[in-house]
Amino acid sequence: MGGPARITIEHTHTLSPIAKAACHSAEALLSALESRYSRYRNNSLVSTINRRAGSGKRTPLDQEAVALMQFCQALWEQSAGRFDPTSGILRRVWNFRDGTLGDPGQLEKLLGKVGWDKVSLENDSAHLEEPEMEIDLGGVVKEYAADKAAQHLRDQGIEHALVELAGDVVTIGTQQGGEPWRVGISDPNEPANAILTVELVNAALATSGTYQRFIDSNGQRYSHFLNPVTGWPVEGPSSVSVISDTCLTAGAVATVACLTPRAECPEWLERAGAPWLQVDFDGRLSGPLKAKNPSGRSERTCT
Amino acid sequence: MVLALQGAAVAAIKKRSAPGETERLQAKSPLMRALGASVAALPAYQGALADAPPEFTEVGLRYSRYSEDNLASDKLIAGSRERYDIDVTQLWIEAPVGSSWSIALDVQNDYMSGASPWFVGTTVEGQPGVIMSGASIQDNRVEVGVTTRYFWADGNAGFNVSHSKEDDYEALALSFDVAWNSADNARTWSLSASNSDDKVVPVDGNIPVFIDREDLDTQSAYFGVSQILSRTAIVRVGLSYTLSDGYLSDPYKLFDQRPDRHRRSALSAGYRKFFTEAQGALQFDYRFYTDDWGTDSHTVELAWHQNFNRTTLMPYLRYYSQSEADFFGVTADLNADYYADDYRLSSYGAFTAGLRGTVQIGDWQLEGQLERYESDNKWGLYSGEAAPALVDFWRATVGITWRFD
Repeated sequence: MGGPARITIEHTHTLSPIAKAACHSAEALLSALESRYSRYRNNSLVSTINRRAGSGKRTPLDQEAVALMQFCQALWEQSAGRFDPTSGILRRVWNFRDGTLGDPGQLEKLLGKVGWDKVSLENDSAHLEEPEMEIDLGGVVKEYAADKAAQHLRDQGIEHALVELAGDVVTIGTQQGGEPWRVGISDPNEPANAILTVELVNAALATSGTYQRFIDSNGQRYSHFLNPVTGWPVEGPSSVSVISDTCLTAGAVATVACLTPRAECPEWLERAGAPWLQVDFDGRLSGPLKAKNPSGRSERTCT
Repeated sequence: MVLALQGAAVAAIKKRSAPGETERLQAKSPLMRALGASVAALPAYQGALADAPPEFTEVGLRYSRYSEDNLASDKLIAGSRERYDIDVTQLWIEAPVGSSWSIALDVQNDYMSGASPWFVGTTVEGQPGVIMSGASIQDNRVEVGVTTRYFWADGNAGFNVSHSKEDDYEALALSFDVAWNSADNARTWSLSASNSDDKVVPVDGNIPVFIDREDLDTQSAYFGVSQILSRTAIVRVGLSYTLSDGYLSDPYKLFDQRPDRHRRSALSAGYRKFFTEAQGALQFDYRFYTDDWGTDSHTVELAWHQNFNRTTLMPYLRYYSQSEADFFGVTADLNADYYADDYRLSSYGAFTAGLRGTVQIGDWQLEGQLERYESDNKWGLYSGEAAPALVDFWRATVGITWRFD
């Protein structure tokens, strides 16, 4: 899913076999999700849908896939189209290594193949109406996978655990001794360092950010997030972190925030009503997580 | 699921709700609620999003003023035209206890003043007219209820005790309710039962009373189901049954002799549809009521719940129609075994129009509601004699709620 995965289970000695087994089965569950939803695997569900774009052939979806697509629909509507899983193809025209636009003519052509309204969801099946359209569910599946792995651990009776997938975190209970899980939010300018530490109990933290993938043009810095309507990079924040009861909703709010112009981010984040932290390219922090904890430690706990 | 509380005969919850509000909303923003419906359908959250105690402690205060219009002068034979005014003050506190319990305390104070119809006679023109109860009465009622609730993965159960006391009436009620969700969280089943022991000790004042003390017992039960139809629509249906045994007449009416048993049934249904683009929801409710006193009634309510950034606005319209009780007469027939000229047992129709709004300011929520009710014999679906004392009223409510960790 594009990053390292870590599962931490704290348990007594007698529960060791159960914890090991739960960890292995959670890993298997993550692999299964990756196989199913990765656009890099030829026989995944997403690749099958993409291959059939414009052909009229519909792809059957199971309950989980239907619900994920419906979640994408809801997020697309709530974000006024900013979040759009069909916009991935626009990256073909941008070179984020040297910060240049390839062929403006190709951008115009690709924009015609972008738009969640061109995704047909009916009778538990999906079809992309334009040839060469593609969907990429990477924006939601990673966070969903973290939640699913955590729920799997809970179902096995695990009461103290932390699941981390490429920086997104879900916690189960507290640490074994009763202390909250302490999770650092990476500094987007120096990812090895934490800019803030939060304390979580039965809560999830998701972060969306550029992490040094940006474009400098005419004195402005743009993130690698692309506006699905114009095809151009968004003048958004460097990173946004959100805490919620599920990683899926936290990640959704954080992702949309990164697709929003910097000045408009707080309004979107306030709408969500969840604790958040915004980091701008100049290193400035804003949001309730920073305001509550000028020392850099958060007392935020969710139960 | 929040709709599981609909119809529960838990006195504390019923008292705390503002008129027309039958559900408690979770502490999530409108944006998160809009995403939440599709989240709930995902397998990963089938267990995780099951019932849980409230995330916050909530303290609320609400004041309502109920004011009946004066009786029309051409309907009055004797007494004051002024009718009832009631000031209702509600205070509630609800808090989570541990990871599986919650506890709630509800206190309500009703201050009543005014006059009510004593009996119906005939004016000099030969038309029915009302003799009112004389000088304004003043009465205060205090009700205290405690509810404890237990939450598990698939549902929740609550137990409530409430006690109500005023000069001439005392009631002690116990109730129990349970709600459980299907495996996919798309359906919720609800069951509740309650028992109330009441004592009537009428006060001999402006008008004479002819009993010293009487008792009344009431048991009721409710069963309901609600079903998520899609990520934006929910439907519910419920059935209730109530049995009252004991003194059921009105001691402050001169001609009022009712049976000492009253069986009542009601079938209710509701539909909620959320429109994502408009960020609003259409609410439709219907209720059919029938009892063994010969009264049937229909209630239809239509409301639109509009979300804004931090405010909500809900206009609503309700229509009600009932048939008259078997023993009702505009002027009571004293030769019959049972008789009553109480306008509340007559045939009539009524319209209610109202507007409710809320504003969220940080952890505080302000609410306001204004409602107008008008009734008329000619607006009813059933034929029957027109009672001269049908009531029209205004009701205004303001409230404030504070939620904190």
